[in-house]
Amino acid sequence: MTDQAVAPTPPVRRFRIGDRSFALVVSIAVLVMMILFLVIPVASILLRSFVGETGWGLENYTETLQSGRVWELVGNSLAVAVLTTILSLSLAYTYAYAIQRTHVVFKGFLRLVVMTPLFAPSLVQAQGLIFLFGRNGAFNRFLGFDFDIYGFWGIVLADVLYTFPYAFLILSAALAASDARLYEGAVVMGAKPFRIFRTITLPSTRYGIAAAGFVVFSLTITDFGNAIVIGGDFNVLATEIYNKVIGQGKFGLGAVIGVLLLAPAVISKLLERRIAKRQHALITDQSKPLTVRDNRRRDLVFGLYTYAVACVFMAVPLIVLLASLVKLWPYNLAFSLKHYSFDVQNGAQPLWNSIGVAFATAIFGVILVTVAAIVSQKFRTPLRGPISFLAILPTSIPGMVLGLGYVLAFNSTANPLNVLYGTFPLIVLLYVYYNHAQGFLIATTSLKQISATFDEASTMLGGSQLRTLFRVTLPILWPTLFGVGVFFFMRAMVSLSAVIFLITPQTQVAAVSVLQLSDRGANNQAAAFSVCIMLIVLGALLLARCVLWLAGARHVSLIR
Amino acid sequence: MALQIEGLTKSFGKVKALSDLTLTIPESSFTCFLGPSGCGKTTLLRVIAGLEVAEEGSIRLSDRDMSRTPPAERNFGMVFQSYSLFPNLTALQNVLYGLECRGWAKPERTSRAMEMLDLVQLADQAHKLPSQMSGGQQQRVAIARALAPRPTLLLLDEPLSALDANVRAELRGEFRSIQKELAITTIMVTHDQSEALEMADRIVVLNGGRIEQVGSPFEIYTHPKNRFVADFIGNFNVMQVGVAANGAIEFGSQTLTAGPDAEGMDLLGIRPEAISISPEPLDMGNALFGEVTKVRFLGNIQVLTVRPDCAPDQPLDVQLHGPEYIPQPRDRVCLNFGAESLCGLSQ
Repeated sequence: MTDQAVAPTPPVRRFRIGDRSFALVVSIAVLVMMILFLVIPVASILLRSFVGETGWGLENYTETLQSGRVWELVGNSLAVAVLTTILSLSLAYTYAYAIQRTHVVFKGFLRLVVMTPLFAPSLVQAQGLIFLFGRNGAFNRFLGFDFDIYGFWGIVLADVLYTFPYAFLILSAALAASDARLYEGAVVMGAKPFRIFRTITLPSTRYGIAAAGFVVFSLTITDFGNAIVIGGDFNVLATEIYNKVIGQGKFGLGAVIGVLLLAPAVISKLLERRIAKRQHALITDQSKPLTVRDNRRRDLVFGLYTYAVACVFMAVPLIVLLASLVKLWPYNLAFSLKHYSFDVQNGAQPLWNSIGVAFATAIFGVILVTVAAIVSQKFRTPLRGPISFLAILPTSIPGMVLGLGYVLAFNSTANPLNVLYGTFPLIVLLYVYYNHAQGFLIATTSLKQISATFDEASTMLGGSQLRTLFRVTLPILWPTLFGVGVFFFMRAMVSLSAVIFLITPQTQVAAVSVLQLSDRGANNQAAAFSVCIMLIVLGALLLARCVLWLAGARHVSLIR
Repeated sequence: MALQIEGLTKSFGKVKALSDLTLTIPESSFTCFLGPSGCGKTTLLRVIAGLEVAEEGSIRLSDRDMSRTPPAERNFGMVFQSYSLFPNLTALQNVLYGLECRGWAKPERTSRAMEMLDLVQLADQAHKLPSQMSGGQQQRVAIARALAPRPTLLLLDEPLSALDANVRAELRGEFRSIQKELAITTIMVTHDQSEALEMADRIVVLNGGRIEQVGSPFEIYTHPKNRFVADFIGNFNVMQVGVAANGAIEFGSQTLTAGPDAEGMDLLGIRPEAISISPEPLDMGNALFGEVTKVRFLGNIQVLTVRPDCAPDQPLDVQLHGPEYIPQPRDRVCLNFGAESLCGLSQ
């Protein structure tokens, strides 16, 4: 043993790619991908909006802005977004309050039930509302009411349901972070419950409220699926892009409206990010978590409220399920599975396409966001700044705008990647980059949580960055990355607006089928497609949960 | 392998973490970098490891310049404060890691890894994951992992400070005996002076990116060079003294006799346990009368605070061991100490 100091073995030198050049090559690859599939499409929209029938210029803008119609659309969009934001926030706040601050029973169920919109194609709310309140809906048909759901109120209702889970997740987190010392202080000083709510609860969650407000606002103003299905003659900016591009083939005018839509979405996202940063500072490590006191009457009131809301959230998927299982809603209610035979154009192929696309999105999404996260966190190259910025840029780009950007960028024969146009790989890439920001943020956060000491320990033992990555970092990180994959899968199954322009008959996906079928009035078959999408997503979640459970990683959240 | 550090300078933004630091670490010695947080001791260790790069200066190992060698190729072993074992690998796999990185043949690396685990008495835990082991066991595996590839230098970054007091005491002895057995040049960073005193051959006291004093634990303890070292090592009485025209040392109104290193100094230090207490002067060289103002009972020792008559504004602490005679506040006592117990301190 004493040979230790006398005869040290010199370190074995083997050829390996120098860590620094390896880091640079990977960083450049990540950046090039982002430029090709993110920067160029967005830039194409901006450029195209300046290309009119007579060449370059402001022609499209003057034509659009001088017509009275566009101002009416802006007014409609803003009215829908503002009202939806107010309703969604107040309902979700009360719901989150009930779950975080009272003893309502079966909280797990209540939490899950309001998440259902995340598992369903993003127009299912409108679909369900039409089955409930439409001309041939359950209420008008069987209960003698005379609702007219199509139009402004239909869009608002559908969007409230659609945005509720996003608002709930943020508000619930804000309400969960509480400092018992403040509440004890207030009670000792003799404050009444409402005063405590007004002076402590509300102020301490104000950042959460603001952040949720911006999220709901930008989701609503860019939502396309619900508006086109339930809007009737009531048009908003998002449906107008669709009409201009698909209906009239006027890409330039569509691009102008895309730019109009981009502005409020970018602004509200930027404000949200600024505000979200402040939320954390409110809770210090000395804060004591609040314990909820017993109060029968309060629990009863909130219990009634939460279960009423839960009923509404159950009603939408249930009525869609019901409509898919009868011969012809609402005229013939005999049980039938014929809508699941999918004897429509393409048959069940769009479902298989969706599953394939979603799997590919999950795999490529995880690889691309993980590499981007590692490059921006661990590699000290000058490219890390631009990469981090571009990685979270998609969060402020509406799906429709990015989708239109893809069409404009890849449809042009001048683009060497034109071969991708009309293929599944391009749809996969669109889904990956559309959801890049969230996946990237999850991966970055968990990378940050892995102690930097592991890297240093590995380096001191003679390990290269690659060895550290494959032997240490990835084995620790995989459950989280698996969760990111599930997130990508879910998004690719349900989102509609991003791919609406990229779909060809050969590359049809299920969410678009739902839209086209209900457009044609084949509501029962559209319902069957929706049900299948929901079942696939739920099945995937369940499967993922089992895999994580078997691997002993039980604390990975899959619903985001 | 002796390590020579010359003119090392490193700043983080405007903060100078190391300024023009020069030091030699003798071969096979156990050296402690000791100092308060922010003194630069960890930065110095990390620069030696290669995890940080200094702006100026050089690091040489037996005359070979290491300053530009990447950390993975320096062949130094390192143990971190805590939680540095790879959580997804067993104890054995952790120890094997460095050997795999260096391309050892399979049979050799397994026997080497087991030998190392045996050295830290954990051969029976080889297949446990870090999360299944106690903090003390984890740090012993970390030592085994660092030593397995036969490093030329062992670097310990506060390896014991995250552990419970009793485990810490046990591991101090164990780390020290492993170091002696392998005769490996070792540097440990710590902010705990008792740890440094117990384990080190040499202590380097750092403050504000500079070296305050280098010496054996005995030298540092008994003869701190300046006020900072005296304060940091702890429990030092510091006396402001005057020098009379004839060179005599005056503590207030009384003249003290002191050794040669106290000559001409404004500040003198004395350890509380170097002072004996008695009712009448003992023949020790110096005797000061005073009044007890405070008595603190700390179990095995008592600490008295005494206000000397000659300098009432400079109270002195005295440590008594064993409870044979416990004075009470307002008792009159005589403080006795030898000339050689007084040491001169620079500011």
